[in-house]
Amino acid sequence: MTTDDDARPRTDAVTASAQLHEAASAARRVAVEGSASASAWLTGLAAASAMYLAALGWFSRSEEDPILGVSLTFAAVLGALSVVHLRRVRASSLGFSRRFGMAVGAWGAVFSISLTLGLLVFPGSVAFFAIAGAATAAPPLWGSVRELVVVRA
Amino acid sequence: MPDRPTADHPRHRLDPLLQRPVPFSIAALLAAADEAEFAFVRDAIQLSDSTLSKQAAALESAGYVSVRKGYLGKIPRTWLSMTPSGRAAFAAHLEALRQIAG
Repeated sequence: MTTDDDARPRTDAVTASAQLHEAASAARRVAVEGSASASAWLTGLAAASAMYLAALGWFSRSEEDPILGVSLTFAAVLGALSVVHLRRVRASSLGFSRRFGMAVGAWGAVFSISLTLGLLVFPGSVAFFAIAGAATAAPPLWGSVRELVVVRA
Repeated sequence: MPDRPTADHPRHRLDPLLQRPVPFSIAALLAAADEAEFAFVRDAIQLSDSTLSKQAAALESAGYVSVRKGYLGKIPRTWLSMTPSGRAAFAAHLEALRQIAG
């Protein structure tokens, strides 16, 4: 006679341990796969925004053409980074959307404040824009490190 | 004392669908992900497209997995993710496995 239990695969202690090991390996595989591309994108965002803000410090408010050129280059770099990221990403680790949202949200807030203050209060100030660039790069760099170190660990 | 099986044994708490090797492997990947591309799951578990489709459909029917289809440019892509009830079922299944493993 075959019972319901007999129809299922037997799960003894050895099988259970093997399946637990498989689950842990799968989690690690997803974390590694998902973190690589996300970390690269966040690092790219940090570098591009720091360079953009640092470049703005060299122009006075009246130099609209160079400011527009630098801004368009910055937008193009962000667009290229995003396209490469979206093509590469095959899995996002658990909680990635929340972590990514926090990192990009913090970047957006610092970037907006820096840009507003820089263009209205400190136009042409190399020192201000250098500090603003570093401050703006901090949130995505923190997010990038967290993906690589914390999530993978 | 009557000789009958006790329902307290952790094997009674194992999920019948997740006891099967392929659904378990799919669930193990998706439980660790917000979302995973169909091709990533296929390559990780080393399945054919048709087998993964069939097994993912079984998990979807059980309410454990949701399937999202979309495009990246002109390239069609399918994304799999675990539903909250799927996560709960997988967590309970893992807990039963831990008890069996001792």
